[in-house]
Amino acid sequence: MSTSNESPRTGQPFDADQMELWLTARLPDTQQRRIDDWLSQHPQQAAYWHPLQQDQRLLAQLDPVHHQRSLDDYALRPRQAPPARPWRRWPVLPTLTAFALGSVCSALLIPFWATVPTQPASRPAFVQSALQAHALYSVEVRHPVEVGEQEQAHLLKWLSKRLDRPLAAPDLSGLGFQLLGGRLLPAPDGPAAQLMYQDAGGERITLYIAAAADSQPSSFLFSEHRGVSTFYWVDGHWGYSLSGRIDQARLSQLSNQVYRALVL
Amino acid sequence: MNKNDLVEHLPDLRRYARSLLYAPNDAEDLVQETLLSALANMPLWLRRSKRRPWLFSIMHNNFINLVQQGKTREKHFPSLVSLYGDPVEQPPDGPCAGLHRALQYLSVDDRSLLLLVAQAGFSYEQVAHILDLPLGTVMSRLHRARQKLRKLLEQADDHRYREQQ
Repeated sequence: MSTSNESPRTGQPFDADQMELWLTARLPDTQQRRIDDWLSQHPQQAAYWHPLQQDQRLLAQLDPVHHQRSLDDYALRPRQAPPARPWRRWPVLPTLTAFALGSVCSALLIPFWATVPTQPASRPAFVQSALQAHALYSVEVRHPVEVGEQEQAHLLKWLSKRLDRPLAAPDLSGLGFQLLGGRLLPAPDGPAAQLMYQDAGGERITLYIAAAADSQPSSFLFSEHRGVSTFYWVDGHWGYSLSGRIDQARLSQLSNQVYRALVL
Repeated sequence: MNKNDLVEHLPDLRRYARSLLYAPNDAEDLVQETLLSALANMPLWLRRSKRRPWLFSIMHNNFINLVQQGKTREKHFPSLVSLYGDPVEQPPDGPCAGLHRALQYLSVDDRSLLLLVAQAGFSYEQVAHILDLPLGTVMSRLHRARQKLRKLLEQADDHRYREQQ
């Protein structure tokens, strides 16, 4: 169903500015109704203008809700920290004001976050470890992984044995990421595994799997720390976290793929 | 004008930033930059009715700077965001997800113009002032922007319709 994108101007008794005012409902009621009546008698004109009116209404309501940042992320945002040289006379006032304002903003947002049931007040410990491991190893040029993908069978057998659970490497090639390899890491509740993937542009993501004995099973949660985004979830006493410096939408797709491969 | 007056406009500014920019980090950065510029340049006295347009013009300038300096993820579109969306997996994005995505395919000028009029509800004169454009240009560009957005939304609808067949 496509309407014409050309305005059917022939025989139109109202000029473009009037129609624009009608779209945003800024004409006096009588004039607004005159145009409504006229459109009801001119289906070709109505087929052009009514969808535009609908778009206008949607735009007026548009309020995209992005992921919910956890408060600890917000508090750690570097721009809110005082500068390194806070005692020079000039920067003090604006900085304090900015800091105070930041606190007020955070305070204003608390009730909003509090109503979102999927975001706990803080991340489980394994997510923190996953983010740290990502930050540490994903930038390595020569030694990003301990065992490379050419020894994939050995890598998975080794990690499965150390984590005492069967471990597969999800195939993310359909979404542009190839396995680079993996490594074994220490974690609070025993050993953890990190698998690293890379796309054609050199962007790396890491999948971190660790025991999460104290965490409640959960659906996908999103968190972010210093530019690294992560989707994490807990399933059967295992915590999973997929991290990278990539867009949330793309990371969400990848996480779904990982979830299907590992858990289902 | 003081910082309490600024806080009053925060929800509006944040909503505008989130609509302008798809990536949440970009939107948050834009809000922060805007607040910092506003605090640094806050006039001691500004008529109440002028405060909101003043803040939006600061946000607009910051938005253009961010885009021009390539500091946003804009340049990665459309690879990051599909106009048609992923029919199965969507990050939770509210009921206007399709519209939000389609907006990202408009030029930055068209996007700001449409949002300032349609979403933020500014008068055409105020928008002309915020964007530093003649009123006539605002009116003609606005109509073209509406047409472009309609075309994008129709393309997305057609795509969904074909998917369902």
